[in-house]
Amino acid sequence: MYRMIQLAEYSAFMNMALDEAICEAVRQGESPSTIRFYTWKPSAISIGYFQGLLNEVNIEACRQAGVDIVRRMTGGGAVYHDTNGEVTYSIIGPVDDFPKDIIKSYEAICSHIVTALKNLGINAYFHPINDIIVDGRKISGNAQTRRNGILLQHGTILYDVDVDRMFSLLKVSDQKIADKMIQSVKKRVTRVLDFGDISKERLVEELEKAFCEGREVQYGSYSEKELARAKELAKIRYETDEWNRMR
Amino acid sequence: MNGTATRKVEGGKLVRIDVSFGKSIQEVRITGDFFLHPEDTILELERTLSHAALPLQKELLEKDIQETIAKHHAVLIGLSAADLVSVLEEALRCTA
Repeated sequence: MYRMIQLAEYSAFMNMALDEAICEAVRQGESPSTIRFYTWKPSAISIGYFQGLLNEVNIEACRQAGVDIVRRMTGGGAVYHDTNGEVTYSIIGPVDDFPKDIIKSYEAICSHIVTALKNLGINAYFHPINDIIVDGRKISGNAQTRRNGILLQHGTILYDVDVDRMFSLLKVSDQKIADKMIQSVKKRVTRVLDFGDISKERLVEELEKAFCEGREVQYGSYSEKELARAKELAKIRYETDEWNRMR
Repeated sequence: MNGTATRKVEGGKLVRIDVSFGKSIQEVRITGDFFLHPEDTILELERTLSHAALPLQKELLEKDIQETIAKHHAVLIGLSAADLVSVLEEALRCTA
């Protein structure tokens, strides 16, 4: 049985801490496997576990814009999480619930997002390793980790991305090519709002329905212990320079 | 001396290697948007690359990387052992 936790807004640090706290609780048998949806407030940049912070993020621009920066426990690239511009999901369960092959497991989990988008009239498809594409443009990026027998996959669905703002916060190696890169990225990403006047509530509704397919799901909420542990993890790990500047 | 190389490999993932070296390699740092399971195997991979003899013996190093991955039951996604060797070789040439 999977617990589904409805859309809620947290800081970058709490969002990553909640993922880890739930992984712990599921592993210890204290919580059911979980699917959760969330947004980020304030807006934030998350970088992949293996990325070099200074290589990827314009720290001063983020500071001036009030944008938080957090390192994820998953690999992958730098993501701009605009408070109003995207919906993020996490799915957390025993690795045996998913295909053993990592790319097949990405495909299986991403299939729910593909279904949700198709139900909204958006012709999306999975593109290995970890993307969902519409008309050759990326609408969703996903990242996975498997630790202590528990699989966590999280990802974003771009609802209303501001590419110019994104590029002001991420490092661009050569300012002379910045405009060209922004134009190039604009051609490589798309968003739900490009396909009609679809409300975020409708998007989340379809995502919830799609993630219920093939599994028993009950709506629930975070336990007091998960929230307390997440607050602790946010403080001792995700807010710290030791973690975020690790590489 | 310090060297750096960055490459976008086939499949779209990016890897950067920073290396400090003299007559031998002192330190290697691998960063990028690839995936590696389990994640802490990155330290073992960096250790393997930092123990590579100079001049670089590419086939031997590639084999050592593959052995490190196998020993830790790791899976490297978006990047191969050959890519790591190739980018390290480039980093050793591109010095600051």
